[in-house]
Amino acid sequence: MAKYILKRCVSIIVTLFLVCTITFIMMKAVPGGPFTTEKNLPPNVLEALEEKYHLNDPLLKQYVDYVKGTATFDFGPSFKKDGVMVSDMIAQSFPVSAKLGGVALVIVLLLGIPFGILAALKQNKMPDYLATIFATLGIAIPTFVLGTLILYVFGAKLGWIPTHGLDSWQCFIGPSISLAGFSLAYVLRLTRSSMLSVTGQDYIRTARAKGLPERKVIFKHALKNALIPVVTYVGPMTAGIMTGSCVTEKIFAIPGMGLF
Amino acid sequence: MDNTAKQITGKDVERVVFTNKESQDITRKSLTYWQDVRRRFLKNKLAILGVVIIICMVFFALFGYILTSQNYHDQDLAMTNLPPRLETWRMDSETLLYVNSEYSLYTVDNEGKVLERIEASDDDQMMREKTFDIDGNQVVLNYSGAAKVAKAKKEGDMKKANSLEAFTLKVNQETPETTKVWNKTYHLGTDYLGRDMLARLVYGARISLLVALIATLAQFCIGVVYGGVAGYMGGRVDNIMMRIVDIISTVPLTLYVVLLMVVMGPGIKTIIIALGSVYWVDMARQVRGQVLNIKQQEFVLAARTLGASARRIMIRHLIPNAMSTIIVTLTMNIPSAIFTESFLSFIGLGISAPAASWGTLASDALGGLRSYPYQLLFPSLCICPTVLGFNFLGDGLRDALDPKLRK
Amino acid sequence: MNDAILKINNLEISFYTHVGEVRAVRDVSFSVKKGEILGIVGESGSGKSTVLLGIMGLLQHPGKIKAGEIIFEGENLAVKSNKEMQHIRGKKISMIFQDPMSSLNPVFTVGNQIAETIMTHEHVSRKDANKRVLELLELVRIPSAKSRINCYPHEFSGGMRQRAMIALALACSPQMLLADEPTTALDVTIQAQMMDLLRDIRKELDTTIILVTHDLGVVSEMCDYVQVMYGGRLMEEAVCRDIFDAPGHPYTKGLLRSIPNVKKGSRERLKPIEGSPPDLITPFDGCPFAFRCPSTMNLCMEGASQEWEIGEKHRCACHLCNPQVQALLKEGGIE
Repeated sequence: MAKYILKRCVSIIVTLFLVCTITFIMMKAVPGGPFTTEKNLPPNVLEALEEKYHLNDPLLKQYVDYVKGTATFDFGPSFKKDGVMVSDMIAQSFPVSAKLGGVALVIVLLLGIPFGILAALKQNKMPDYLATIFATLGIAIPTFVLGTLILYVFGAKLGWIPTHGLDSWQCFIGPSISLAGFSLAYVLRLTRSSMLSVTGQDYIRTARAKGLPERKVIFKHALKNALIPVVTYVGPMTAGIMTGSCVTEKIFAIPGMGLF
Repeated sequence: MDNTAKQITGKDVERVVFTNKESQDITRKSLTYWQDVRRRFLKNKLAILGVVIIICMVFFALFGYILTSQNYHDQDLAMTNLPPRLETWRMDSETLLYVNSEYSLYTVDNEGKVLERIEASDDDQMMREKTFDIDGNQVVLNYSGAAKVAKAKKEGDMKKANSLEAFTLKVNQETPETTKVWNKTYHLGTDYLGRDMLARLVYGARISLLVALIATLAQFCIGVVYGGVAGYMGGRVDNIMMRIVDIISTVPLTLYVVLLMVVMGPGIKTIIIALGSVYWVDMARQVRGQVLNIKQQEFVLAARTLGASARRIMIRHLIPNAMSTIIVTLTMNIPSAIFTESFLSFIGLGISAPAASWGTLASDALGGLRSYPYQLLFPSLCICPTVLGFNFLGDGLRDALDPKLRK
Repeated sequence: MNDAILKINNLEISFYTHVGEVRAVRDVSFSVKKGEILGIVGESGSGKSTVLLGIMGLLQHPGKIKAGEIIFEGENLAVKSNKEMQHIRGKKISMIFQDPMSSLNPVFTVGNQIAETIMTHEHVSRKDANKRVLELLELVRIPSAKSRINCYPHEFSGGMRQRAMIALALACSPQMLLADEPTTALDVTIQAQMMDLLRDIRKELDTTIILVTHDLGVVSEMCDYVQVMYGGRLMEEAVCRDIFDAPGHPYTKGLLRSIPNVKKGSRERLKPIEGSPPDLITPFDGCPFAFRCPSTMNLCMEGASQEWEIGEKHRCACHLCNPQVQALLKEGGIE
């Protein structure tokens, strides 16, 4: 087990390193730099700028500095906003995104898994149909459509929720629901189908044949197996919720990471 | 039992001889695998609905231009933000008047064709009153109520805001009757640059289906071969190939697109290359898993014992047996590709103007959402059914191809 | 028959599928004496496993007990609720399943799964339960049981898993053990070991065993009493020897003929029973074997036969055993 974890950690580091390198190479391969704009800057200003941002160092030194900086979470100054460090910008906006993502994640897990189980246990009955319809729609509606719909109907038309910012708890409703929507539907579907396939397994029949109470059969024997694919999905899903957040943040005008 | 009570006669003990037909009747007709698949698929109503939706979308993308006389990139700044349903005032027996939310006045004919924007002959900023002179009729538009409406909206009192009138319109001092007509020039209205929504939607449909096609091709051409080779070779080759796949799939798609965008500039080409270079990964994994599984089965060993070449084993035995997985993965990944494209376009990383995709249309609609919700409605109405359709098709195919997987 | 531990009267089990009612078990009656090993033989789909699941109250949706009684120790299990059955399952009656590979939960250790049963029914501490688990694993002859107790099922071989399944079934010393083809998924040498084990258990614990199998060899070795099922009905039942020596039903005869004969010099070909098992979904009230029987009569198409006593404890559900029919046939000169 420890060996496996170590192996995964090494592979994560290697991957991150590769991503850094590829990004660096591609940024350098592009003609022009961050200061190439429509109006040409005077050469001396440009030189001063490059000096300031260490853009005239030899490429190899730039690369080493860049990797070193990235490893210590020092991403250098922002090219866009003068005098602001990138790490400060992240430090400022990340908590906002994380809070929103966290709320959405809680919604996904607290609603998706229980309702998925419920749908599986009541297969081909009303709760199942409702959950399936909900899940199918949720998967087919992109985040930006769901977000704008919520914003338009509940924000602009009905005035129930604020349309921007994150100042009060009501502000969280719209963005977190639209952020959670797709993943919620997916987790629900996944839980349902995995629960259904597990309850058809022989070992569940064995558990029943042992005389275990139904509650224990479902919540101990079935659930522990059924949640394996769900847990596997939650990892990438968390990443998805974070990238999806830039859409939601754009729609609801929230000062998170997505706005840069 | 009743047999004991019944007197048995000679007839009862006569031998029964079955004809061939009778014994065939009692055993059910056997079907080949693909016949069975077809039967199960055709029985699935949702899957058929999915197919119908997809066919409709393909027709829409190919022949949608017939529905409109407009072009997707022609701007007409006089005709911006016209909705598909016009709320008009009658000026005379042939002309209707339409006022947009910027208080510009348009003449509309009886059928709903938008004729032209009328320039005000007098614009009194103080009184918030515009005067128009149309064929000798004097039209007065007073929009002094607009401020009150805006105030009510700001206070969050939607009821009050909806009850107030933002403007009044008088033709020759009289309030004319109102009628609603469908916009016949721009069936689905125009966007903020006066471009025809319908034409842009058709263009967007082409983009989305193109993306679907690219994702399919990438999966089929790269994914199946890559996964097949990795699974068949096994051992170290497999290990290295799968590590490469791991690395590709850990880098988020957005990052690829941003980087590619920087190198190649935004556009459909970039999106296609980005999607094409990523979308085969999932397929490669699935096919490898299947091939690894099938490879261990006896019939492959049998083929090898008979001296079949690696290529033949692969083409004749491994791929056909992995076919159901391939088809299902294929259809399941299409909606996600369409999704990704519209998502990228929405955040401004995809198609750039004047070309349009459903994602950019939705993104463009965001600015004027309160006044022109239809601009969001139509692209959404295109994306959702298409994605639903592919999902239904995928589910249906999975159930039909592999009843064991049915959940 | 006072010493009958289990008595089944006119049991009917149907599966209500979307294509119609499948009558998996039709009008089955039998009884099992305490300490006896009863074998139920039949091909796939004959309803033999369904009978066992019906006894356990474990029929999966859309299966249902339609009619009949299952009397176990004076109580009718067929009308008991799921909750009431929980106190009987695993404690008084337990079951061993066909496939030991998939019948153990992969995410719990073997010891844990056995201990769970004991703790559910006997309210003992974890420690006591574990002690009992160790005894059980030794009873089913799992080598170095102590170190195996904390293994996960995938670390066990097929035979070991089936031993663990048997230990699981014996956890609460049940009066009755239902074994659903316990050796089908195992290879032949292991099969013999399993059978020895089951026989020893019967000897040591005086457990009643119902053994469902399609292996006539196993039956001849193990069972005191044999029943033959076909198409959801009981065809013939007799003391083990009689089934082999004097089969009454054409189906049983066919079955026996299809056993390979390995006697020296025998160059006989195997004689399979022609045709395929009946499709239980088509409503047919005649004898289920009528379509494959070499001597089908009009009578057979009209209705299935009752059971006729053709010897001591030997009953056969075939119209040919009806004395009236026999008389008529003799009269007509047909054999």
